[in-house]
Amino acid sequence: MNLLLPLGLLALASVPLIIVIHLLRERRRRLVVASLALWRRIAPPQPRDRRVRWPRWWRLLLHLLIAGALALALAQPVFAGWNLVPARHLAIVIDTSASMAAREGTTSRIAEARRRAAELVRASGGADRVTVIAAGAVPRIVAEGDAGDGVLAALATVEAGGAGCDLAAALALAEAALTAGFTREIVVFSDGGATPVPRRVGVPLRWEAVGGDPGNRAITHFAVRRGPAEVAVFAHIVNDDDRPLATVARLTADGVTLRRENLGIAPRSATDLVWTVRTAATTLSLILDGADALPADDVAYARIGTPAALEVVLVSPRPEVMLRALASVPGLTVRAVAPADAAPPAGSALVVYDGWLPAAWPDVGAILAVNPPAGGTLLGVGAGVAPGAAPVTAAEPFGDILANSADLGGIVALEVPPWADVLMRADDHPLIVRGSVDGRTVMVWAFDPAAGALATRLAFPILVGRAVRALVARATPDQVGVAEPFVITASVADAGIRIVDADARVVAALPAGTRTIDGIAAPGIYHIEAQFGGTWLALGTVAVNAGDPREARLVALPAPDIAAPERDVAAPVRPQPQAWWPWLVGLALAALLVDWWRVPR
Amino acid sequence: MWFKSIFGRKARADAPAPLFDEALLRRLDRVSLLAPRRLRGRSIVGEHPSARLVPTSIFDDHRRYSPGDDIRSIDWNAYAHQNVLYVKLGEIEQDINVHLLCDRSRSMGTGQPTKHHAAQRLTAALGYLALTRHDRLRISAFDESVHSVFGPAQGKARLVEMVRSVEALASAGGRSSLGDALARLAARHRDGGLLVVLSDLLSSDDLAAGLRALPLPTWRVVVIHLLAPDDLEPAALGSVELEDSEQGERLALVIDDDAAAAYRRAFARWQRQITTTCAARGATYARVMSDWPIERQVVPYLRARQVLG
Repeated sequence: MNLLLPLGLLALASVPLIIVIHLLRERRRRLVVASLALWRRIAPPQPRDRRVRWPRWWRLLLHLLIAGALALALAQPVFAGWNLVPARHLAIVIDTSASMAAREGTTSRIAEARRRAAELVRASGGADRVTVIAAGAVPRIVAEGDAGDGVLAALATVEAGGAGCDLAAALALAEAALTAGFTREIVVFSDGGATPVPRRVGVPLRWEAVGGDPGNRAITHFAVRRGPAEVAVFAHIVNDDDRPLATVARLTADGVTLRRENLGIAPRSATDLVWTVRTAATTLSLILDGADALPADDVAYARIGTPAALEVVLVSPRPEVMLRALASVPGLTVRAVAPADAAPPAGSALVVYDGWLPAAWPDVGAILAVNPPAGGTLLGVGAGVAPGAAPVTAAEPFGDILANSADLGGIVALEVPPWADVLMRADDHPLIVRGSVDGRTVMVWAFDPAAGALATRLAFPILVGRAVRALVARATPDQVGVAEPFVITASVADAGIRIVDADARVVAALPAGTRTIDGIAAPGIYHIEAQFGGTWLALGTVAVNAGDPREARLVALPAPDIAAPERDVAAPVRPQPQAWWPWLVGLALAALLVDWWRVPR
Repeated sequence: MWFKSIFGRKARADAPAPLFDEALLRRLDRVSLLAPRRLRGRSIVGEHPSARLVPTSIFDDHRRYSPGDDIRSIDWNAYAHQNVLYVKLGEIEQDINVHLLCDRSRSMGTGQPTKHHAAQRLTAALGYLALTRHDRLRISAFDESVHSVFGPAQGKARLVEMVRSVEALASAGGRSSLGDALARLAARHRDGGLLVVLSDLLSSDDLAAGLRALPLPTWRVVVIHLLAPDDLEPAALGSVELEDSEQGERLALVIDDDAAAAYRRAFARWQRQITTTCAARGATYARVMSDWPIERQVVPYLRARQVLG
């Protein structure tokens, strides 16, 4: 406590004055009479109320209290706060890798971690803060705030799934989330094996091991490749148990069993299965009979890709250069037509306009406009420019294909359309832009590949290949892991997204503009659909699998060797000084009120 | 030092008044103690009338001569007419025993001025009257017992000694017992006399028994009831703590108007009871306030009560 005006304590000089006054009043109040006999003869003079029973020295103490409080208030005391030890900020990191979903006894590892984390939250004080981090392949903050019901509710939503636990990123995220001025601590609930492991963290770290050694068998790899007439199937099955595994593996196609094979796998070993099947189904699944601690990785799904190559229409008055480059891209069927013969290429996956543009964008999924002519209605193209050997900056997917613009020729001044983003530029000149026009994906190259030396460089077919893949890429990946985020590459800027499982049940509905799906929690076959004009159109099918070599081994590992300080070295933040004088004045007024009420008049 | 004068002046202001002053002495010279004729005294130098008739030259009665009578008191004119010897009988003046019994209990120390001081002044004044009228004066003080303070003495020559003795009388005793003191006094002085009791009568429960030991006509008892203004009226209203001057007991009270009126009624009842007791035993009761000036209020009052003449 500090005094802003210590001279105010001079008012304490009134204390002896009050004592003297009380002593004088005490004398005057005590009357010596000749005899009490007559006073006792009259009716017993009981006090009229309880106020006179109050001892006088209480009044003296009350008056001293009033004087002391007012004197102290005049001195304007400020108090730095009782809580010299700052509140605690606890970062709870929960390993959400698939192995944490293993059941042991009556509960699962993730449930046990949630329970113990909830105990930590409940044991925290009112001023403490808690941050809950789900440590999966991509760590994320689940809840942050005061230790209370909100954090507990968010904690209950943490589920295990997905391969891997990026412990280094999770601890870095936790360390960054901890607030300075609090006593910081990180508590990790994990069954071990998380990678990468940081060498040290800057705040105290407590490792709470979860789980035992239940043993597991898992399908860690399941791949399918469609050939011209047959489908090749590959599976890798692991027996991570001390006992040999004897079970049956069933291969099904769209729910119909195609193959059944007895398996015998030695303890702590693995085996591979390779089949060649004839089927027209779109999905395959492999199922291991029986049960273990982690049933999610006893089944695997795969989507069988379409065999047909993509048809590309090249519209160009001089198609030689682009035709040669497109032909080098695998999986493409290129058809070159002259601009005069360019009928509406309906159904084509990609139309490439080279040195020519139609009056309107055709009704196709993707368009590549190379060296657009000036004077068109679709693009604002100006006169040619010569940036020379200006350095080129490019975004994905082109990266650092071109170091500078020395090999580029026929560069035109392209007015970037409002619907497009610049992917490559030299100085202030846009070289490649991409955007979406009425549901079409359009890429524009503002240079002529045939004019410069680019066509003779190795970078040219790479540039063309990446452009084609960027334009005609599948909207969704074929296969992802459980809880693994993936990106929808289709133009879904203004369309709602929903995820539908194999039984046509909507698993999740995502708002318009969603491009990244955080992941799907359960293994299976899922359809990603987008809403265009009130109609749900299928963007793609995703096979979600829980099996992963990193998660197949369920034995809980000890805490990794991570250097951490024993105590938080963060300097505590001084609490905001609090002025006490209003409280002291209030106390004095209250005492005066009590004195007024108690004293008989 | 300058502040000594302040405290010194205050000390002088609080000092009790002297026992005598010139005005009081002048006043006392004009009065005397009244004693009934029936009191037994000695007819030597006294000035009080006596009930006894003795042969004297100034006569108001006769009787036959008896051998041994002073032949100077024979009324020869009556013998000439009747041939019988008669002696002339006349009144004689006598001196009496004057007992001043002063209460020196602690309760006498209350009041402003204190009742004790008033008792001292009255004792000195009455003693002055007794000595100047050639009465035999005894001054005693009583608390739990009776203490002789002065006397027996007679004559003005003992006046200074009497005053010093009275001045030395202090109110240091404990509880007083007036009845017991009166009984002891009566047993010690069987020839009776004029007894003046100066007390606040706060321990007067046995007053009747004490007065019974002082029968008429041997004794004439004058009870001077000394009171302070605080005895009549509560000194303060409100929440007070009363302390008994003799016992030290305390009593917490809220003295409001009702309580003050009740006290006044109780006091009047108590005083009536004392008056009745005194009247029943032939004692003269006189209530004297401690703040009354002796020469201007006490002496006229005592004259009206026929204590002084």
